[in-house]
Amino acid sequence: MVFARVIAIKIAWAAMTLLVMSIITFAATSSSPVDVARNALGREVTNEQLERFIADRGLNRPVVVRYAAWLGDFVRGDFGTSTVTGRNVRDDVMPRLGNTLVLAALTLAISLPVSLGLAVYMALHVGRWQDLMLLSSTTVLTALPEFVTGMALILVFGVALHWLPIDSTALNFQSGWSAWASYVLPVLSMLLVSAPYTIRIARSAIRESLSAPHTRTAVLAGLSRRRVVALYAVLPAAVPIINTLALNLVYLISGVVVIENVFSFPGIGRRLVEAITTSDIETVQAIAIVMGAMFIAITLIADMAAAIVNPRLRSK
Amino acid sequence: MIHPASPRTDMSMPIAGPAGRNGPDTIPVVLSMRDLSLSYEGADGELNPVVHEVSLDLRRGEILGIVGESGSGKSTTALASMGYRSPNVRVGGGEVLLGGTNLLTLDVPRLRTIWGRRIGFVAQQASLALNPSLRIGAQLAAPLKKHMALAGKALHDRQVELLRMVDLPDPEAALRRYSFQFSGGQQQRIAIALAMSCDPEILVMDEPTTGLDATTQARISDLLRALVRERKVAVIYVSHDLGLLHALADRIAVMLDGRIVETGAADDVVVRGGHPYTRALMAAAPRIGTANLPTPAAGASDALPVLRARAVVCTHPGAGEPSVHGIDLEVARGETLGIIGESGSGKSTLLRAIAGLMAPTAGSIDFQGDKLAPLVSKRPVRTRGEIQLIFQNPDSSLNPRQTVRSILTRPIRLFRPDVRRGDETAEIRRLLAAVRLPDSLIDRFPSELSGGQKQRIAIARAFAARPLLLLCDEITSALDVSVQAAILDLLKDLARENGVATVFVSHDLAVVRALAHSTIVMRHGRVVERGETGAVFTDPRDPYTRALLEAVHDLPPAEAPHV
Amino acid sequence: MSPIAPAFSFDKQDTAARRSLWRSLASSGNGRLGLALAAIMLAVIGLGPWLAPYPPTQIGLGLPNQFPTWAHPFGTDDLGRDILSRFLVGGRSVILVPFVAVVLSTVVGGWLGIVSAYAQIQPRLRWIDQGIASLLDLALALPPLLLALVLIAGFGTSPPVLILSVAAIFAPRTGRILRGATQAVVTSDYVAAAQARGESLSYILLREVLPNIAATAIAEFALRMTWGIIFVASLSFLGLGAQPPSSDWGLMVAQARPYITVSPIAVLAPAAGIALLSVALNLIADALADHLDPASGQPGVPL
Repeated sequence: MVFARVIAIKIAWAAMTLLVMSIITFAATSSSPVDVARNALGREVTNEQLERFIADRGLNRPVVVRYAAWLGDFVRGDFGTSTVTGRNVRDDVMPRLGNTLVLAALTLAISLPVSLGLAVYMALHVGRWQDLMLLSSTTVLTALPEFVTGMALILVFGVALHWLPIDSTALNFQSGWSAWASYVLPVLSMLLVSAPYTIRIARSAIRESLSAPHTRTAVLAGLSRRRVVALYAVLPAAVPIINTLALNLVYLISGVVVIENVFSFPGIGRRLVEAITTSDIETVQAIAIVMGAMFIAITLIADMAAAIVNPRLRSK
Repeated sequence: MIHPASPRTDMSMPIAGPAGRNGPDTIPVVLSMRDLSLSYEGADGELNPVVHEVSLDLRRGEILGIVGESGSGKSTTALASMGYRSPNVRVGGGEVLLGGTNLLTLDVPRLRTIWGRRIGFVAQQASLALNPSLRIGAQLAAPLKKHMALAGKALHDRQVELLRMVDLPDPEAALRRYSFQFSGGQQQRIAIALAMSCDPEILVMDEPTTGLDATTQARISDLLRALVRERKVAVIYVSHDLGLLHALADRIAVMLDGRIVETGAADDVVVRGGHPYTRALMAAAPRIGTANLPTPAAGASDALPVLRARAVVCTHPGAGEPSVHGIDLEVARGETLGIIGESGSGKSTLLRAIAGLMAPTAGSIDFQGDKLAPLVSKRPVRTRGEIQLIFQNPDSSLNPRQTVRSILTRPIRLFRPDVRRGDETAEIRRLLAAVRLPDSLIDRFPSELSGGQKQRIAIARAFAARPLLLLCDEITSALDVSVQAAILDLLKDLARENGVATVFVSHDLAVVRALAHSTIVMRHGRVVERGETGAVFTDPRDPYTRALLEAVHDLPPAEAPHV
Repeated sequence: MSPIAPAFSFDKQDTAARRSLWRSLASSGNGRLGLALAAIMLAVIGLGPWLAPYPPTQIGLGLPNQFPTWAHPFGTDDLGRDILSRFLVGGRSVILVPFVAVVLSTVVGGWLGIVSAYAQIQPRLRWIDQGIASLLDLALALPPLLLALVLIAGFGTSPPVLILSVAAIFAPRTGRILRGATQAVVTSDYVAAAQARGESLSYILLREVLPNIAATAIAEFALRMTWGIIFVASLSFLGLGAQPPSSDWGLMVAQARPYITVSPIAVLAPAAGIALLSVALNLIADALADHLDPASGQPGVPL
């Protein structure tokens, strides 16, 4: 079973990636035992007290053992307590994760059909003015940093036109329309930044299969335009398209950090940056692992989807 | 010498002269092209004419061959005969008449009712022409549903019937498989079944067997003949291979630079063809039956062989089966050894092992009586220069970023202590003259040369090192037949003048027949036949050699032009 | 074999004009626009410090968040600093850090890719290729921004940390692209011909391989510069790159963000600066990619 083996390898690979991500996070952000103790006990502390603290907390164990214990806590869902805020990290992060997921899901729900539709439209008009105009727009949009796009939208729809709120802080205390209005600009920014890239890749994949010999065979068999486009142009391009959609999704996980900060959106991206600026190491670690896991899971799902639609793998 | 009968007259009387095999006068014309002219539109809107005033008639139940070399406009003409133009093709004038309708005036939706229903199309390279993402069943079903409104059991029965018609084993199972699960020959059978699915009156085939092995090609040709006989379908068959068309077609049209220079019954065109281009093509085509054997190499037998290989086995890393399975061979000074084999026979791997690009897993190779190190890096400089390899495709064997000068300077620097530094240019000019190229090419890049010129540069590079052994790997198979003839002549002359021993690998029997003193036939990494070239070709003992020989379409000798 | 009839010469010339990278860049509309924009932006960034009317970090030059006046054409920020002066000085850090990082990642990633692809065709060295390829795959599977944030969280922010994080994130991407480009070159027969001549490894890599992947490497460099500028500017915007009182454009946007309704130009000027710079580079990268993509002008089918 080649197919089952491919899937098994992909899952093992994803697990390994997550492990590497956790090692990097642990290695980069964990302070030395002495620093941890000093942080907890304050400056005026004797060496004896320090050593006792280190021994009590098991900080004198080998680094590998400490890493394993740290990872074990995460796997059990225990994200620890923040030394900065004193709050349970899990209770702090989870509601924000919910907000972020809503933001990403809304973006995805709009971006999928729009990108694919535009890509097909452009591929069918390659070289004509419609295609060239859209292509130039995507060139400009992909080159804009997320915060520039976000700021431009704020300036237009918030400052100049007063149509929409200039930030998303309303989500913290309001519900109903004003809460939903808080999503509009962040979602629009994410769309403008992420969709153009997907559109470009999908367009060239579809264009390539449109000029492939098998498409000409279908045209010369008298098949209808709709059938040729769907089954001979888009379907054979499915693997690259799924891969780019995955990239898009993966991108959402990164882009969300910047976009949330542009709009003061109460999600995990904004919390992550806050935590870094306040040296809230426990929160940084928790969010890094959660976001890393999401990132890797999405890549895995896309890989498996690409393997499933790939007849060369499926038929074995 | 220009034949008095101008091409124009030939075109206006496409069926004049001796009747073709079907007695054309009584058979109705199904498709007719009248003064068709087409151009390619470049990105800047500039028009490049590709087809000039082509007129052709296609009759029911005949195979009309269109022969021409690359760039002659034959494929564009064939596609236009269906009313099909790529988006960058512009019609300059003329018409394509199918039962009184001019296809060039129809829009695409109207053409879709004709394509697949009344005219079927078979493309070159079926591996690319079939959809890799749809099962064969789905691909076969689409035109049947669209044009014949078949469904359910009737549809299924028709699908099976079609695959059975093209002799595909186990049609039921084949419907559930994907195109890449079939061999090249089977893929082309499926493509033909697809084109024939709605019983069209006309079949247009664009180089349908190019790239397939000769034996596979022969089976596809047999299938096509049977289809024409049983279904009275009219076929336009485009090919670069005059020999194949002579064997297959009833009539042949010869295309050069977008014009039809000659049309007529296949035999007439081939044997009594009047146009100088046709005659040149005929002269260039290598033949098995009629060509003289190469003159025996002087003193070939007495001296020590230049190359002697014993029980050579080569296995690609990761591959279970060796691709070369215990080969012995010997080549003497001035002698040419031909190695014939189809794709996958291991013939190229054997050459790479001799060249030291790949270490054999067993066996020994002696050069000039001494054992050769398996890898080139372990061989002395002198030996590296004395063994030279020429590759199949000059596009790949010449570095696109180096000029002719730097390509030729390198081997001179490495292997020619007799040429002083600074004197290389004189030596390069001598080499260019030897491969009959003008000096003016010396600072050109490969992309500024034609295919034939590039292969001459590759030959010059090999001879720059003063080789004793020349290894030629399919060196003419990427070239047009006319260029091939010139290259082979050149190679023969150079090898004789320099007394070089040559190993010449090819899938083309006629080329080997014209060049080699002795011949080996390889299959699946083993030698199935060996001997003096004349004996191998006239009295083959192995059934595989016989099958290969039967698959060849040899051209008859051309008659002198009758004024 | 009989000679060719003299009435015909077959070996006719079929020359394809060789397009140099530079010429194809200058001949495409987008390429020209990109070059012009990039030249303007580089001039502004390069000459800016000499043109700035005030020291960029001097506070209290005017009232806070003042509207544009003759004295302060772009107005002042929340600390009364001159926005025009800050803008003119603040472009350098926007390109310097990414430039160093991208040079580093191109050199490291490029050599990894080239060595890997070359090892692939040597049966005995194939394990090197497999090792490098797995390493690149693993590195590529890590989320880029998150990785940079974790590194900054651990080691603090400073130009060396920024450069090393960006280079570490980009190197595997460049490596994969150049590995692909090199693969196409090392499997060609002119490399086999060089091996058959017994050429050294360094000759093959420098004389046969490098000239044939240079165009890809340049296009990849231009693309990475675009992403590098976006990436580093975004980190500065998040407060994790350039630190106050620097007038880095990304940081300027972040600092002016709370006063966007009062003084939009303080956001607009640096944001536009970054946008024009990265758009210019992206146009150039695009034109270069078109030059490399042979299929860019292929016709489709009539539908």
